[in-house]
Amino acid sequence: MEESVLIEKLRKKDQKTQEYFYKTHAKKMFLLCLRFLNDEQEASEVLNDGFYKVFSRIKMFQNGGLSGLKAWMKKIMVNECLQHIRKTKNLEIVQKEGLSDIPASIPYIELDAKIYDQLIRGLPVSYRAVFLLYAIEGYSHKEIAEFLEISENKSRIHLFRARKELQQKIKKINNHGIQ
Amino acid sequence: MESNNREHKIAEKIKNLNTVPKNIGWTPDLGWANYKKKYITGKIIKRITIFSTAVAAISLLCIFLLIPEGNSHTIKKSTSDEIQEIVLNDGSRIWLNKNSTLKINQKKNTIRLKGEIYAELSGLNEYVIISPHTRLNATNGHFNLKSREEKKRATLTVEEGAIEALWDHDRKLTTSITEGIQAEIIPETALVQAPLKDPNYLAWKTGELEFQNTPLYTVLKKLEELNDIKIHIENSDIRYCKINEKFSSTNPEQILNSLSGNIPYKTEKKGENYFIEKKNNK
Repeated sequence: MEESVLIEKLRKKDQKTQEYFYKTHAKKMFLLCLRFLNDEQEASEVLNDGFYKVFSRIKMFQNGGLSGLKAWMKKIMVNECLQHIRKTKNLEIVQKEGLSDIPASIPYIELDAKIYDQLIRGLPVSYRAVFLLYAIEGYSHKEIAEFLEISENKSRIHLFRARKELQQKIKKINNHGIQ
Repeated sequence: MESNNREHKIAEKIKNLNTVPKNIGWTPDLGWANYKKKYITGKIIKRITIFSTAVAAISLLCIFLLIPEGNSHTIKKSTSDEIQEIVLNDGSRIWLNKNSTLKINQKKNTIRLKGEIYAELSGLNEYVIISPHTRLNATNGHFNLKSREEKKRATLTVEEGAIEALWDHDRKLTTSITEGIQAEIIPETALVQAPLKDPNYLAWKTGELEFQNTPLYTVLKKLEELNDIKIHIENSDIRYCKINEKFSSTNPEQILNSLSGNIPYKTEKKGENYFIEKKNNK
């Protein structure tokens, strides 16, 4: 389907086009939600809430073609995930320790993307959310602090701790192989 | 910079990931089915439910407000412990006594009564009055008709004009009751006419009683009739005491109290029963 026709039909709330659009892009969006929430049921619900917002607010989407629409949709999905996290998860720091021994980044070893995805999903929710927003989605600590309604300092601490955990997990894999 | 590059590589790998983990049951088809259920079908059902409820509520309201008694030609009235006045389209007036029901069809000029009415007909229409023990034909005239199901007879009192009363349905026997006459109608048996002797036959409507040289037991009988009570006279010698009084009420307690000023008795009430006992002279 041509881009302009697709967007026009979506604006007209054509159900068949909505179904086509959903089935084309839902998988990627679902994986994004799953990364944030690490729960199939929650990810599935937040995904559908996100698509509902996309379809009902499509008229607010400014011209930008299909790539612009996809980027806009992704923002909505991330926002839905963060709203869900804010509502349902405890984002308090459990451990209190110094930051000196926390790495500036995680070591890179050649691992399947699925493994990295699994490792990230295994992080505590507060670390995971910040890591995903900073390292994967490219938001600043200022923006993350606004999203999660935490301080910038907390955002930095969460990121450092996320990196530490991932570093330990990757080291384990490197030394002992994938388990 | 190198650390940023490493994280960037991981980020790119993850962003390009397009396979759902094996332990996850979600698929795009399943996702769409759930989406439809919640946001499309679910919404339609919700809208239909809200719409249907609204339509039902509005319909009920219309039925209740716009068609209160079937149609404008039919009047249905029912009383328990109050009297109701009804004015018909032709100006005729009917008063309905307590514990009575009335259904009037102004198109057919029929009046169905169970209980007691006083009617002042305008003379513009001929009415058929159907009651448990008699059927009347009347065009003009003022009359009182008492015809209760639980009694075995009807009482028709004509104040003005002439009313035709059917008292034998099988033989179609009718009798014209004229002004100043009270008729006791025993269906299929007899119609007994006599000049009106009871000046208080309309006390239920006027709320007034007048007794002239009337024995106490007659006064008490009237109170029983008007108030659906039972009054027991314990001493026979006060039964015949004569009463000459007017009352602007039919309330039994008020009247009995008033009468006890002249006749030495005391009253005891137990439920709907009153007991009148002569006071002992000391």
